[in-house]
Amino acid sequence: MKDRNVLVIGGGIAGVTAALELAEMGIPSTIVERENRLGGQASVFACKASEKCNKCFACVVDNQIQEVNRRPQVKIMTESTLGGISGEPGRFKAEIQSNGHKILLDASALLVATGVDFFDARRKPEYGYGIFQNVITAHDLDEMLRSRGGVCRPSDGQVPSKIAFFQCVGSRDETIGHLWCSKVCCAYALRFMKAIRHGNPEIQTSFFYIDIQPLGRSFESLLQSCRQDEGMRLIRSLPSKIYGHKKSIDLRMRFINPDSGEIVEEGFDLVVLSIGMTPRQDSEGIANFLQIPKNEEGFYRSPPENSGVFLSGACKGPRDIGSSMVDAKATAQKIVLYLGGI
Amino acid sequence: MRSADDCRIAVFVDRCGGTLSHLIDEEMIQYVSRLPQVVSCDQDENLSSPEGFEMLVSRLTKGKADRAVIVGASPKAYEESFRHLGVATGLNPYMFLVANVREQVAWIIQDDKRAREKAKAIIAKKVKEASLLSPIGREKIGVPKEALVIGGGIVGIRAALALADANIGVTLLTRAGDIGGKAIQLTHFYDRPDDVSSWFMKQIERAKKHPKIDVKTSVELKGFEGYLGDYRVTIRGPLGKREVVKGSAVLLTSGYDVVSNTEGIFGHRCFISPSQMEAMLGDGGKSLMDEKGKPIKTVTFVLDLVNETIKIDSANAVKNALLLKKDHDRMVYVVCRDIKVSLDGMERQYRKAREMGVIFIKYDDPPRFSLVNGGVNVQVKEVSTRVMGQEYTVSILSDLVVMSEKFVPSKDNEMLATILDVPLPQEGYLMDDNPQFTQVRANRRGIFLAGGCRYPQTLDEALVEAEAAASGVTQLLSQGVYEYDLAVAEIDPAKCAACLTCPRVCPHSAIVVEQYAERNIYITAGYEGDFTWRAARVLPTQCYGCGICVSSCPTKAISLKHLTDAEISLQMEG
Amino acid sequence: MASFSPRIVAFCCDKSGYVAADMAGKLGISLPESLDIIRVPCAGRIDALHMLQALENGADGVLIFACHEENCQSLTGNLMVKARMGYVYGIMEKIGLERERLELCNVATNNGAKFAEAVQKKFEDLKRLGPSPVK
Repeated sequence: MKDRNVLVIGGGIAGVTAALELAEMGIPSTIVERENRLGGQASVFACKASEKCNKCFACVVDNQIQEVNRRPQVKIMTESTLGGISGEPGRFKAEIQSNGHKILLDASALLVATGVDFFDARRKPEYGYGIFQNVITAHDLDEMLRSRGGVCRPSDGQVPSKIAFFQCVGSRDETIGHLWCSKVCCAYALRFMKAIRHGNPEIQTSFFYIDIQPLGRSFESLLQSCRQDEGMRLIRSLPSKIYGHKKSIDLRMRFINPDSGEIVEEGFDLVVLSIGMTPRQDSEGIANFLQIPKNEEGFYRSPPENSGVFLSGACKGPRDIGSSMVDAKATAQKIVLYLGGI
Repeated sequence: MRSADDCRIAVFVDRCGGTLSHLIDEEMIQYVSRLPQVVSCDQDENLSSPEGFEMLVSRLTKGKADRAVIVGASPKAYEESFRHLGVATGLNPYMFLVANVREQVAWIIQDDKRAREKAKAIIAKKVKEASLLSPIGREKIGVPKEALVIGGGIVGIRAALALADANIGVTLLTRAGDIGGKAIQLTHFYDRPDDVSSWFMKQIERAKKHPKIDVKTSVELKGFEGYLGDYRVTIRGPLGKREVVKGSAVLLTSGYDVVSNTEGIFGHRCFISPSQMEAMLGDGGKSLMDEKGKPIKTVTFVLDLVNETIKIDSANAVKNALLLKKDHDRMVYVVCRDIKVSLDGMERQYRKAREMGVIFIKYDDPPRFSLVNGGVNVQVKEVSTRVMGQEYTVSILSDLVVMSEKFVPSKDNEMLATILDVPLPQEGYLMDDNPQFTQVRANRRGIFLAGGCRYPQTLDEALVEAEAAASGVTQLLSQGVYEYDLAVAEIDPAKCAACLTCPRVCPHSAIVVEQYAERNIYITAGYEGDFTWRAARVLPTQCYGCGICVSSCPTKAISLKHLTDAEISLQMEG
Repeated sequence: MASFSPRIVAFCCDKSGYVAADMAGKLGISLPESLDIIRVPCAGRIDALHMLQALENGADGVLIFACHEENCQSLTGNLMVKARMGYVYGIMEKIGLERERLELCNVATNNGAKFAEAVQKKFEDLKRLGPSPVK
């Protein structure tokens, strides 16, 4: 068997899972990760369990990271970036910038798992993110729950009484040219609501949406359970603007009351913007260099067969952790086939 | 037999790159060195570094110690190194213990002095615990490069191809007379212009012709037994002949079923199923007319009365609505609760459909149907017409109404769950939806599942699962042998009363009950019988070492080699 | 009573509780030093005997950290231990031990904050309850 080695570009859940799969098949790999830790976007996700696990997969990410750190066949280079690639399919030569040093690496195949960016909510100024302290993104909420275990208002550190979740922030939006659904936001917002209300049953939550998107096998029971919860309102109407001031604990918004069809105005003391995923800016260079084709939205499409370049994870289009892992495993299989099987 | 006096413990203190320096001082080192049975105490700035490792190896090979305690960070940071240490020093990897004094002492106790006291207490306990350690062996079994795929739909076919192309011999079993399954009813892809039939035919042909794939059709599963490396399925062929097929691993791709509602009004010829719509569009629109030869003008897709949280019907509805509009210029309505666009490219298709004049109507209350003039009147309360407390009902006079068929678990699932001993939760699909199993892994080592048998999915999603499951199989078979530590449960057959508790509680189906034991302690004195007794036995390749059986056994016949009751009791001492 | 520092024995399942305990350390959260952590491969390994032994050996309270339901790597380990706790509660009631001295807490690997909160709360509860009568 010729010397096989895979260069994995991106140490998020897709890259880590693929490297683990390849290691188990006896194929060594090197993960090149820009940040100083593995796990990518998902590494700051919080557990969203309520009375039982809500299948958010955040813990699975932590487990995979722990596993990959124990595998001698996977070389991990954090705070490293790809400088350039030369050579030909099956015999690539990579130049990696790592902690100020230049390192040369041979690779028989390349796996691009560079992931996504989360939508910058400041691009929707009507929501007041960055202006009103109590308007936060789902990302902020994840960090809050992960490090503090409970939700609180940024302005005064108190527990909120009414939380509004705004869906489709940065997705399904022709005003900014984002004509895609980010797939995970409905599910994660519903899970957030369940987790928050489990810890603080007095908090009232409202979910403002256009269409509810299902995600995964347990979504049906999640949705039913939310519909039956009297502290949760699912409202098919998206407010167009939030009115408030910097430290406002009375963020006001107008929406259509689904039962009467009338326009009503209500106040909330915390608003969570369910931000979607966008093509990643800082991996443009790699994509162009490797001539990875893109679709209309800017996400990556599979390079030609036999190019030795493979894609995995959310860089191909928004996806949840479970789907990214399954995709990474499937890609590992494709790589094994490319490298001659077992 | 080891006794407490025989132990010689080497202690290694990891300063963890300076993060533990405030805890470790000369007094601490002296204290540790003087603990009973400690023969040496060394420190290092960073035990996990190559230099630290070298020091460890040197001390353990030259010194007299037969076990070691590491004082430092969480055990998880060191455990992989123990295997290499074991190889380098000849010391068994299970003769190491870690006293976690960083994450669980230094970082949670603010007062340095009290942290040090706590650390000393923990180290003393670990040193005592070390005297209870015993070496644990490593074994291997051959895993021939053969696998079984149960289910001959497109998911099974794709999985079989992924395995066979990787040089694994596959036996593909199907109940049906031919492979292909349900997805063959699709006539168009929603996301690419390729012709579905030729794509399908190519997959099926390749599977049938592949030198490493043996397709067996019209088979019935009659029995299943074995373990990783040696799974044996008993099948009955079309002529009644029984055969045992073997594989090192098993992939389940048995799919799901559909149930149509043809009761009452829904039995009328104007109501068709999504697959009938596919077929109509598949023949270039020639069948888009009623039995009087009149062209069908208005088609209404009704979604979400069943299958509300499954994307398949929605994707096909948008796809076919576009075809009806674009290629055949019909009036098309899509009536649904929510429009499901959570598929790559679906939002654009939905917008395109709207721009082309497909009308989407959303409801909260289910629509009502009545027969009118040879067609169907679909009455829907459109949610956006609710204004000032009023509501308006939209009436859609349709020539054809496409009604979803409910996706249900395959009626074979109960049989499969019983025969293969995998969980069957209440919803009826196979295997628990537990994130730790990453969708494609079953609870038994060597068994994987993919596609609709787990949950009805779109074709794209199911195909990715097929390859992911194939990857799981490929890993297990990749080295030709499967190596494992005997850090598993072990049953003392003399104490086993064959009460069958442990095979029932074992979540990984790793325990079998067989006739292999000679005598047990329950035999009455004076009995001189001659036959072998039944006793439970743990299959070491299948055991995950969870210990559920250990605590369930009423006679304490089971022990976990790497964590005995004695070790737990010791840790509880005040 | 003023200087009573309740001793808590925490059984931590290797797949969730133990890692959550490490994470609590990483987050720099202060925890009582009278906390003893016992690592087990799965909560299902914990026998009724172990829970009672811990109380017998001087624990004022016993916490069991297991995976969330439907997230156990051994599928049923967390349910097994929950069932056994039911049995132990019955015994505790008969011998006059307060129910609060034994509790199950479901955590995931990334629930460091939740782990710390559970320990701190139990510590305060036990301070109010007083030392275990069987000590």
